Amino acid sequence: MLKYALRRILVVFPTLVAASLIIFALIRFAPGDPVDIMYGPAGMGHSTATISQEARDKVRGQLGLLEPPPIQYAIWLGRVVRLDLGTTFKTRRPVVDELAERLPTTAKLAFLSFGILLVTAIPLGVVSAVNQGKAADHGVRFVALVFSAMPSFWLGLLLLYLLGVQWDVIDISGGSELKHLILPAAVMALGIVPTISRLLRASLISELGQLYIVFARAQGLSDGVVLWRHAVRVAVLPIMALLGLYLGGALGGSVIVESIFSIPGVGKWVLDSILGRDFPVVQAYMLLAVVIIATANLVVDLSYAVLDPRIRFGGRQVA
Amino acid sequence: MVMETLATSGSNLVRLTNFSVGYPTSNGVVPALRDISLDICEGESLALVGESGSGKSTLARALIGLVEAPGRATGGEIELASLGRSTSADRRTGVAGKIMTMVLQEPRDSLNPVLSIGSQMGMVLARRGVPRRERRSAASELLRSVRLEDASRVLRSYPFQLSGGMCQRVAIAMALAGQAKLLIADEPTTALDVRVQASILRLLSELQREHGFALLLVSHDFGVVAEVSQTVAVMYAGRLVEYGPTTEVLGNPRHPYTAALLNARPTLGAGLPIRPIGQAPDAGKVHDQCAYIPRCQHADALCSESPHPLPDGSLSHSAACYHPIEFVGERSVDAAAARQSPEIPKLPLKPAKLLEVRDLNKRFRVGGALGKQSVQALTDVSLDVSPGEIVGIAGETGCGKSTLAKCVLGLEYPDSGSIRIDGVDLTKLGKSEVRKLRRRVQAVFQDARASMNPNRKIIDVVQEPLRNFGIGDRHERAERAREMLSRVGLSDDLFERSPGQLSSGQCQRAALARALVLNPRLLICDEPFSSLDLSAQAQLMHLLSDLQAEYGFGLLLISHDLAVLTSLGSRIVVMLGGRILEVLPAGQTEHRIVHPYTGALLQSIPGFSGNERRVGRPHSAAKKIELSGCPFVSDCDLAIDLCGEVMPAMSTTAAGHEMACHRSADLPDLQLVSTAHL
Repeated sequence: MLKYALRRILVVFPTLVAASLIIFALIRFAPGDPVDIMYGPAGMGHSTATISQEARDKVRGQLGLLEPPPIQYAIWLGRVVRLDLGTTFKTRRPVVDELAERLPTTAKLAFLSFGILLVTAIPLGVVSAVNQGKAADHGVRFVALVFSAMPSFWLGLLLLYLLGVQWDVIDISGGSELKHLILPAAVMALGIVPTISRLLRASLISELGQLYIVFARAQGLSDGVVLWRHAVRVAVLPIMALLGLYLGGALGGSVIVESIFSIPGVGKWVLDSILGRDFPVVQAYMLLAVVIIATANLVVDLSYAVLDPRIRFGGRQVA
Repeated sequence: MVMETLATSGSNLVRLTNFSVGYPTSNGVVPALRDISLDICEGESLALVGESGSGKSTLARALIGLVEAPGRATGGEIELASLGRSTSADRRTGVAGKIMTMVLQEPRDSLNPVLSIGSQMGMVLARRGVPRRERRSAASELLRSVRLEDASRVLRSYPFQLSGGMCQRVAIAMALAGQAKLLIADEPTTALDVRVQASILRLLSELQREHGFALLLVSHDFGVVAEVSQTVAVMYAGRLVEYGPTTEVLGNPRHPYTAALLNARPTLGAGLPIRPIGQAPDAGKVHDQCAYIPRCQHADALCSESPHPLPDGSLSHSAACYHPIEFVGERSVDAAAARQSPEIPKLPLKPAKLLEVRDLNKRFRVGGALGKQSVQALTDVSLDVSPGEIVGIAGETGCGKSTLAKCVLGLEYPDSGSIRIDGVDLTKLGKSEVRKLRRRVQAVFQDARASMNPNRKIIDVVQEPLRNFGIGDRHERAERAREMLSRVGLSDDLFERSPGQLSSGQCQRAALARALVLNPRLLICDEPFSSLDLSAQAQLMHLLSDLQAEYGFGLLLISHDLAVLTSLGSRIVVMLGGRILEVLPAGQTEHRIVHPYTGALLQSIPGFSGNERRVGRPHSAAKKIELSGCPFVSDCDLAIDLCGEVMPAMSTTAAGHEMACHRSADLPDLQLVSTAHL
């Protein structure tokens, strides 16, 4: 088990290095110049104050953009490992500080939506599997279809209008308090509830047809024990990878949901930075996203090992 | 003797009266069980026999209230002495686990793959009201009662870490937890190796004596039935067709079906089983007449007008037949005489070798990239097959027989040694040359259906090899495939079906056609019979024998069943732990002085008894200790110190009979005899 965990952790590092290279290259290939965006394109008789070419180069020098790209990458990477993600082009504040202000809100939102996902998708999946082909199954399927067909910005706006404006039951003023986050978290979760519950349904139906279920019943175990402690325990294994990826994605911030609900999280911040070609922020964010996804995958792998002894012992017969 | 035990057996436990089960479909209810009447008494040992689809498993599950959805009881009653009347085939609360319990065919699949044995047993004990603190010791106690030493290690283990036999013992231990009065064992040993099977059967009998429960054994194997049960109920197409004491039913069967089934059983020391006619019908498609009519030689108008009343499953021997087979004395003698003795192909004195395997070694790495473990799958294996010869490879799970087959097919590369096919060394060829060679070496596998693309028609499956090797044009290929399919006994209407729509026997025939359509020199069959019913198996054995006589290919036949191998008249190579221990010449039907391991295998075959029943501890496939000596040493009664240190060399003891044993001079005479009534 320890060996397995170590191996999994070691694999993460090359992933991160490769990702950092790709991130660095990617943003430099993206069209648009940060100085142009900050001060308006050169040589355009724009009403806003445009500045001279010399001034532009001076700003570029200050931002470190005149060095050759490999040097820029080395400098950046050296700082990154010291957790110095540079200063933003826009506010000239350390990226880490700005991130630290926003990450907790996004994390709260992510875990809240993950919780909502679990308490809705798992019971729905179980209910439809147990009532396969009956009214409850069709009902769940219909609702799932409706929600999965509805884009989250539309669902978000709809709920915002109905619950916030029409009936006024939920605070929609925007903020990072729990009361502000419940509705956006639900909107995020609802997007994937259908997928997870359908997958669980299929997996559970297959497990319920296995011989060990017949055997457990033949020993007189109650329906509840057979369902939850035997079948569901095995049926959740295939959907764990998806759950982990979802949590990883949610921790990276949801641009749409955060924008609609005016939540001061990472997603909205990054969107603004991308539009402003704020390289340090975008780089830092992408790096953060890679770290989160890699960690989420690691957590998934390790929890597989905890929950599935066949993986823990490498499937080897030892007896 | 058996009659006496019956007469003194306990009071009635379960009584079925005209019990029926059906599956509702859009075309009405399809019956699976019809009018079953049967008594099970306390402490009785009853066997349910029949082929797949006969309803024997449905009946077992209906008893315990676990009929597969959407099946349900459609009539009749199940009366439980302790509960009173009940007609429901749905789960009857308080019955499963308490009054009756069940163990199933696939022991490893019967246990939850991701929970430890301890936690699974804990759940069952919790249900029995054992307080949390006492569960561990209670579980250990149960494991000891099924003769599992080292209970604490077993409790920590997961099913995939235990052998099939150990899993079945765990399942039996769990079944014992509720002290149920009836244990239903649904093919409990079918998935196990023969020596493990023998030990599990012995365990069941011992436990039955100790605990006094009634045992309902569901089985297709008459040997197993003869060994364990006092009473037999034979099922056909959802009906009970014969019932009586085991010695009576097996020794003097009255229903033609029972007799045909007994004759289809391959027997040690006898030739090919008698060729059965037709195949068993679906219980659902049979109408209110005797379902055996299409296969019966004695059927007349009476049989189709009104069905003979069914046996009521009380003590006396009865059969649902107007023309029961009369008592003919020693049926077994009669049947043995009727069996064709196996035709041993007459080979030239020094035949050209078709396949020559020399000193083959193969080691597998197991575990992940960091788990440095390897298993020696084959050690110094040498073997010849001549054209027209049948060479059988016998051995238990993990003995290396399938690895050997894969090496010969070029699907695995050996570490050292040579494999010559018609003089060409396979191990020295490149990929494309091996591919060309496959035209001459074809294979049939255990699960024929799984070896075919489920979305293709049978005719296309059989044509594929021809297309692969670019033989003939489209028309010729189709023609050749049709010819071959007809030759293996499949009718035209099946050609356009998909593998899923065929029975196991039909699939195995189609697989045979696919292998033979290229007219190979060597055919490798890996356990071709083990997924088949007795009658399908007997039919396929005949077919294989006929086709070999016709086409003259060499046949490498892998089987765990020594009776099948001797019936086909094959030379037999016995393997254990990746080594060949013995080669028995073809046509020697009474193997008396054999390698101790072969002796243990022969004595484990249910329904036979040797002069002394020594089964030994079954060699665990996973217990791969690196041995310099004989792989059988730990289980061998005759082992001396030398056996554990040095692997004995192969030496010829009689014409064509070779064995690797240090004690070959002191081996006992086995004197194997069929149990009297079989």
